[in-house]
Amino acid sequence: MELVLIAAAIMISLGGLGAAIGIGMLGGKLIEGSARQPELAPKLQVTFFLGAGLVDAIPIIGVGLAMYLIFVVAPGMA
Amino acid sequence: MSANSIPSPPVHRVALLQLATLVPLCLLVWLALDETTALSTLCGGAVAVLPQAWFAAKLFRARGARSASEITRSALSGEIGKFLLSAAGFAAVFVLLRPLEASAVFAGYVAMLIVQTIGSWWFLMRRQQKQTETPKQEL
Repeated sequence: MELVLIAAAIMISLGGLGAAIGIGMLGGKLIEGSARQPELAPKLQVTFFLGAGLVDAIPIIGVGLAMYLIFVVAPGMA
Repeated sequence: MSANSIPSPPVHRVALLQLATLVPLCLLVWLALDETTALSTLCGGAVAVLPQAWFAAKLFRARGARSASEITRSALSGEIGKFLLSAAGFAAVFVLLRPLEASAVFAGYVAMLIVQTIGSWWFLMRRQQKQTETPKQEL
């Protein structure tokens, strides 16, 4: 049962790390692109919105699976 | 171009499209399968729609190149909020919803992600194409 909690912790932490790296890269490119071509900033912001939605989809599904492990598979441990 | 003169993109329409897809989807699941699966699908979809709407509202609060650092700050806080809201939503569903169909929760979540991606691309990119075409016609 402890292994289930360790698995959930790894899923949440690695998912958060992946999302942080992805969003950080996207945000950096957004600032860089806005500085290079200010007239494209609104378009870049929309593209950032689309990209961010795709980047953090998989980590959040991982968080959902971790919550399932914690609260359904091993409810007595939580 | 000042930030106030830049129109806000119709991100609220994406959330409305998601809700407009989720409710008939759950009714179909209810008719085809059972009430438990339909309710689980509805909860999974709601876990996707509400944090995404929060993120969109935070991200498009500031606009324009001069607000780039403010946009990045609001994107960071929006992303943190989205992550926490999603985790709390999944935890609440798995704790409170009984009886539960876990696969339906994730199916509802993934269905809303697909609708979000297609809807965002449809609404936002189409609007940008219209905006880029209009000045060319004026010239």
